[in-house]
Amino acid sequence: MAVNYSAKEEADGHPSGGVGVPGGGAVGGGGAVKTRKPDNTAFKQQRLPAWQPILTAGTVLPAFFIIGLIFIPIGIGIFVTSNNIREYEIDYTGTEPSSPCNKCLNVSWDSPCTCTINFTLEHSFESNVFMYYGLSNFYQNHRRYVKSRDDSQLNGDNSSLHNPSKECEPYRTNEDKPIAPCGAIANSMFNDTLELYRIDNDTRTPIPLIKKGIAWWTDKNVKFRNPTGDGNNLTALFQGTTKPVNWPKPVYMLDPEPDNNGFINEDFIVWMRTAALPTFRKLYRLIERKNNFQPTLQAGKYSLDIAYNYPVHSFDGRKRMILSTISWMGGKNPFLGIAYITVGSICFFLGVVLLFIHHKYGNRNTSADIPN
Amino acid sequence: MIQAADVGIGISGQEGMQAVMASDFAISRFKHLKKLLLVHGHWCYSRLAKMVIYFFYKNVCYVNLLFWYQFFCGFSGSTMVDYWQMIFFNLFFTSVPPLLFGVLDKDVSAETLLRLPELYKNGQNSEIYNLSTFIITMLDAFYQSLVCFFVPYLMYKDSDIDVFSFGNPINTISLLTILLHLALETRTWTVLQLVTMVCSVALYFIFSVIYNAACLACNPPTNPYWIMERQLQDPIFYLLCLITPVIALLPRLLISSLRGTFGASLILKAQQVDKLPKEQQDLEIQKLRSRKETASGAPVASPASNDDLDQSISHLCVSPFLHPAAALSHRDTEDQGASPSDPLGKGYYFFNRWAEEESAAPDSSAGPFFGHHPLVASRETAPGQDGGKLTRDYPNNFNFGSHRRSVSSVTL
Repeated sequence: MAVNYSAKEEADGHPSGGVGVPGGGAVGGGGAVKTRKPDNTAFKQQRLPAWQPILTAGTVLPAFFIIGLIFIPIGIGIFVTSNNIREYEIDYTGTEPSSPCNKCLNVSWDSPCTCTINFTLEHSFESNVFMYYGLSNFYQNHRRYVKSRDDSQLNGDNSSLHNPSKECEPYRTNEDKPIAPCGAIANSMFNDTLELYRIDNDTRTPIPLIKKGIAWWTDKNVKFRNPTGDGNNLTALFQGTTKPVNWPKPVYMLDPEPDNNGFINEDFIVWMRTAALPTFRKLYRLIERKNNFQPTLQAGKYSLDIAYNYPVHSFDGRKRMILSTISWMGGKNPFLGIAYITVGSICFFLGVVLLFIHHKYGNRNTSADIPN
Repeated sequence: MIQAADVGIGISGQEGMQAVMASDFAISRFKHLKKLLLVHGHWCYSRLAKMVIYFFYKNVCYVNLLFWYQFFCGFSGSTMVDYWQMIFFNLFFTSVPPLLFGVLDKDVSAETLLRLPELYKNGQNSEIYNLSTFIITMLDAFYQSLVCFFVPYLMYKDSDIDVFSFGNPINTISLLTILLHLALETRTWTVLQLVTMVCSVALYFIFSVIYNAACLACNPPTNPYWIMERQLQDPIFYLLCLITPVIALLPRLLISSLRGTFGASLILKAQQVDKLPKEQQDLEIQKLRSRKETASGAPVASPASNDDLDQSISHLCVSPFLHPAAALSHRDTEDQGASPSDPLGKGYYFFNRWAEEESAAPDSSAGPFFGHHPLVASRETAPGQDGGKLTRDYPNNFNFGSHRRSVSSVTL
């Protein structure tokens, strides 16, 4: 690959003299020859105006100070917010013999088992309370598990309803009928029922749990749709399909209310959003604040009634119920606040160190006077 | 005749274009050789070396994110980033800035490179891309991927995050970290580089928003519908994107700045000289060069330089420039009939041709040489002796040199 290279234009007219230097190959004698000299533009001759920074202690230390000064207040704000979030967790797997749910350990899905756990809230929960169920050692992020769904079927496509995707194997058909909803994710849907009661001098008052608004709006209204047809008669729409193998009831009997039945059932949608990590929680119910004068959950005694249907003991999983308030940053997690404060402090300290270094050694480099 | 070389440079001439056709680079004048080697050769090495090391770092950093996730998904090969976003990461979002870096970056200015030929050794000694820099870059890539994964992990641990909402901040954070890493490496910021960096990030967000809004069931199993839009409304996403690149790049920034303050490499000195005003530059360069010469114990005509010359052809073109007077004196004492098998003769021949052109044409680039090496000037004053020698040589060497000039190349 030969690249014609003549850098200095002004040298081309150089007199040959006794040296007999031959002329450049490109510039011929006649003006009619097309020159192949590269253009003398700033881009092609690499003369673009540029900023050429050198990273030294002196140039970098303003950045460190700025980072330190910005991060520390942010960190304090986040940490304070996180500390104000109230959270209460109950593990109700029942593996310990003393747990009320121990009797439900060997549950099979056709013999229901209920257990009750009593607990006390030390502090009252002020704003809206979110009730989660949590699972541990449950790998919803396993590759074969995550693949095992048919989003076209869940979007209400009638052809996919009767002919689910191959990815759903082996939960695609059962007894020659297509499964709706197909796949392992749907098949393993969480089906414990949790109810909360307040105990006030031996009277149990149920706490109203709201089951709407727990799934993403886009999931409920766009991604998951029932098969097209009359929403009130879902039984007919799902004609020709069968329920998933491990479900007690078919999908069109999940909830009597038509806008929470079928594929758009919010518990189902929440479950289908596969969790990222093996220890996760999913939103179960909402407890809304009644008025501004009373806290949502007062401190005191409560009781949790569990319909224990979901077996986790076989894979050493654990089940929990979590009550938590929510802020703009989500649930209770002191990590980000601590991280910001730590990084801000480190940056500030390094800024000070660099200031000292710059003051002591920084000026010697401008004179290139380093002893060898 | 030269059988093998790293780079072949042909100098086109009246005798024919055979050398040009056989060479990798063709130039028209001998004096262009100086700039080709010292400036473009150095820039080529430095750009390529840095770009290659950067590409290794980028890919190790990105793929390691998927590796760390395997510890949390049962080693099943699950990815938390959508497939198309992963592919386009390397294809569109982080490809143009390093390419532009490899094309435009200048670590030392052309004038300084011409005046400090010692800087050429930077390439000969592989100072930018060698085993230690590679290992350090790999360790840095591991560290950065650890940070880019585990900071979001610790944030979202035991929460109700789903797989692709977990992967989205990780992807964004690693994009920002990787581009900011390149920003720390860039020594020459032109408008183009700034624009491509900003456009890469903007393209990433635009693509993600459009893709996540349009793909409902198009890409099983991810079907990332509305994930980016939801994340963009979440303050935690922005807080993570702010802190994680800072944590990831903090060691590199610190070490670079300390090296900039305390380092004593010649490249660094040359970069600092570039920053000085014009008058001081000449002074500094003279200081640096005289210090180099006294430090290496090589006064103008010392035998120590012969080792360089004798060692290998690769040092050929550098040492005559460094010790031109030494070369001259050596040539005077040597048998002047340089045989074709004697590479030294040819090297001197090339040098002499260059020096004569330089001395004949008052170029600014010849300034320092005039100042340092009075013997070059003396060739003008005694043309009868040296010039005559040369003109005598010229037809001799011209004939056999004509063969040499048109067929052979300068070895680097």
